[in-house]
Amino acid sequence: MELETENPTFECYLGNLDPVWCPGCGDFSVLGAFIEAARRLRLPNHQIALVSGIGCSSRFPFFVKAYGFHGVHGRALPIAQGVKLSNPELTVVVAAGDGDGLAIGGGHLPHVSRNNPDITYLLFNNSIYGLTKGQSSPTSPTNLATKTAPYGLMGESMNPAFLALAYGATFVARGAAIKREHLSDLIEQGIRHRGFSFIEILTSCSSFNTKHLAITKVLQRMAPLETCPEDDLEALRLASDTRHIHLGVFRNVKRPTLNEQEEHIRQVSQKTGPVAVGSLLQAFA
Amino acid sequence: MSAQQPNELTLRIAGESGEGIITVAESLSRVAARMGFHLSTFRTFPAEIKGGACMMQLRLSERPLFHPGDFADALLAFNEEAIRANFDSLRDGGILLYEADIEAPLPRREGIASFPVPFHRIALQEAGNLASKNMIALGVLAQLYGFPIEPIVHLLEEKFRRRSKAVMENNRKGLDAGIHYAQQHLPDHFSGSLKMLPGPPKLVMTGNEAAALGALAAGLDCFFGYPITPSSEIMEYLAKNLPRVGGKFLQTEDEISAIAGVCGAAWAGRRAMSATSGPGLSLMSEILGLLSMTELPAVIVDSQRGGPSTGLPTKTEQSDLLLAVYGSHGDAPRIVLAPTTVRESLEVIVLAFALAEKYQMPAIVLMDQALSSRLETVDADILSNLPKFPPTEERGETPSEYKRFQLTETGVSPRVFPGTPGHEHISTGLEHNERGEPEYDEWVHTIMSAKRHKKLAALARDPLVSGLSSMFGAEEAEIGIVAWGSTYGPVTEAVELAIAQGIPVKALVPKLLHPLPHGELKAFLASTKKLIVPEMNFTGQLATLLRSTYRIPTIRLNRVKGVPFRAVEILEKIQEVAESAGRSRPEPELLESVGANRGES
Ligand SMILES: Cc1ncc(C[n+]2csc(CCOP(=O)(O)OP(=O)(O)O)c2C)c(N)n1
Repeated sequence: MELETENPTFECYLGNLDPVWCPGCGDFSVLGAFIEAARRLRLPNHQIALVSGIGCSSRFPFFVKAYGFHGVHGRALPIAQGVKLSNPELTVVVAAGDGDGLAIGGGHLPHVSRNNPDITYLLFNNSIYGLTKGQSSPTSPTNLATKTAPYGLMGESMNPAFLALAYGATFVARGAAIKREHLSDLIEQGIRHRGFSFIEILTSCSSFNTKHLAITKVLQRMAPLETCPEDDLEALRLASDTRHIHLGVFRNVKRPTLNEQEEHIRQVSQKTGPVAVGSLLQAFA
Repeated sequence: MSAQQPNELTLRIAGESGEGIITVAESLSRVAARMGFHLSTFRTFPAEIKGGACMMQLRLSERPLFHPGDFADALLAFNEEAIRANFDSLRDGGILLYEADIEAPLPRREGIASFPVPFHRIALQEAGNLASKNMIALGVLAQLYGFPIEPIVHLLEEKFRRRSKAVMENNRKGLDAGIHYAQQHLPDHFSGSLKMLPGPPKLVMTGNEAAALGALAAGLDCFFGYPITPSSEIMEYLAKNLPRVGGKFLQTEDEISAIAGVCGAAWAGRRAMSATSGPGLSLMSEILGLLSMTELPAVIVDSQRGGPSTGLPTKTEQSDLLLAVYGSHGDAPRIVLAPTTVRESLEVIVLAFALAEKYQMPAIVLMDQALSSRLETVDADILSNLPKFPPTEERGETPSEYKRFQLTETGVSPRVFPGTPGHEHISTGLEHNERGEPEYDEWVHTIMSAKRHKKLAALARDPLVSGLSSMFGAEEAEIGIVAWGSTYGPVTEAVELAIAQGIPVKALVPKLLHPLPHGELKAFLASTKKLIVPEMNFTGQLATLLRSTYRIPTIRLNRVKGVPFRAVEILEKIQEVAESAGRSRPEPELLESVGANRGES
């Protein structure tokens, strides 16, 4: 894992393409926080595999000098799981929006959490569908009028970090685009964590959700966690607090990763070493 | 087919699921294969979770067989329902062995000899438990047809090795009681119909097992799947054996996740596959298009069952062809292959991996329930002579000039895997330029669409697929048949029967269904005046493709009964077409298909 330079610069990680996000979009800040984390971790570019779905936030891989896979809406997580299972050498990071990750792709989160692949999942939560220009998302607050809920929204709003905790993700954190330094630190910890790291990132949409994330109001409610809660109930309580928006790490525990589990199964199956395909024919005689 | 063929035997065993019918048929199959016979089987699965009617037919012969036979020489039935449901499958002159306890009046037909056998009573009185009923049946059949007993005992010992000693003792008691009963009460002239053959011992496996083995032989690295009848055995076989050969297996939460995993592994440069049935392939169709767009190899097996929707989950059909060829939005090139036999299920999977990798697109392998679950003999050298193909990573001259989607003569671009220093790039489902960067202007989309489809043209010329179609029958015939998949078996026999009756007919069975093998098909169609297309679907999906591609009229023969064609059904169609040859036009298509589906045979 040699890097060309001892101390990679921010520029070392910038991709060929310029971001296409709207001026004032919170995603710029997430990009900066990620690159800062990659720089600090001195990740070799060619070892980074960025996988995303569809959405504004899913454009993320285009702007980083790395291997990128921009797939279809909602499937970034299972695609990334395939990448990591098949090639454990790669540092796999996923970028997804709240619609991508919790609506259309919501069914994958419990299972990937359960499998615990060593993947870092950046969930960009802007509480709106950005790319499709302003429809409700599963995290839209019920009082938010959108293009598809002009008279108000049906259904409760989802809490991403709370869900990830309940699903058993081994690393769960919440950060905010507006707190870039802190976010960078969380991403660094997430990548270092061996297992599935879920990072909810509160970000803003400067075009379609200006009201909800009126920055000053939200800023007032943000409360950094001093330390990672010791037990799950406390973590769940803090993650679901409606008065404060707690930022920080809610859980950081160790469990065998998907690749470790796979390796174990391979060893169990090969009591006396690997088997040649030809020898399997005996069973059909 | 009214007479028993020399050195050929077709047995049908029927009863209630759980009565051990499959064990009887499988044991006889294995022993016959060890004796050097060729064989093919067919079995039905009850739709019920427990119980329900169950049947397995087994046909053995001294020549290769790819069809379990239209009619049985003998039917062994454990209950009244089994007799009623299967009596019509007995050939004239066949024999019925049935549970003597049945009191209801039995169906009769002239020329059928019926023998009551007190399976129930022998099981209780002589073997000591009801469960050994099937062993008594095994003993009766073995004695009746002169199967050697030692190999059967040996096989049972292997099969029940892990079970308690008492189980094997009971089995032995039942077997001996059955043999004894047959010696005392049944005629002994049938045993002459089977002779020990000099052929080398053969292997017996199902289409699903062959497909799974083929994947291992092709160097499968990763399997991702979600269980679904009738493909689950592929997944189960790989769950057990893929780790043993060093590969990785993951049961995912649904088929979308499964094909997503395949996609991720393929992008990472590993050989990956999934196996499913129609409902799963429907869910996969969006990512199939992503694989076409990002030019990644993948192998997907679809073991077809009756559809649409949940349809007939345990029965066979060939109704996913158009889904396989076109199923995805946009113009999404892929390869579609269909093996016709168990042996080919193995070979075609290997070919699917080779082609998918060479042409960087998904390959769908269409099987069906009958092929997936039927036992068939294959030669012991089945793994030799398979195409070898090394991984196809290809780096550009210098990293800075590397273009993942470079325009080339064949449309195939150099593929570099993540982890390679200096070649960082992006793959996207958005339309993109040669470097993979999103670009949607009209020319980029036109040029890139052409590039992706050019690969299909190159593939069609590839020596790997030349001569892949089966062609047989009378070369000069004006009546031709084009069929696909497991319908091959009954077609080969129908063609033989027609020729024996003096009706010249020929057939072509392509294994490559997309792109169609134009060279072979055009030559065949040019010399064909009447084209019959038998398919196990309602609308004639291959016929539709043939008509639209070659602008030829087709005479469809469609069946959606959930069971394979009988050779005589195809023979009757050949006869009908031969008779109407004087008339100028085939009957109107629609009426024909409605007639066919009224259930007449
Ligand atoms: C199968 C499918 N359905 C719908 C869409 C349209 N679509 C694209 S992105 C998107 C939602 C984007 O919102 P989010 O995932 O929250 O990401 P953001 O753009 O806000 O970053 C939708 C509905 C699609 N591309 N594919």
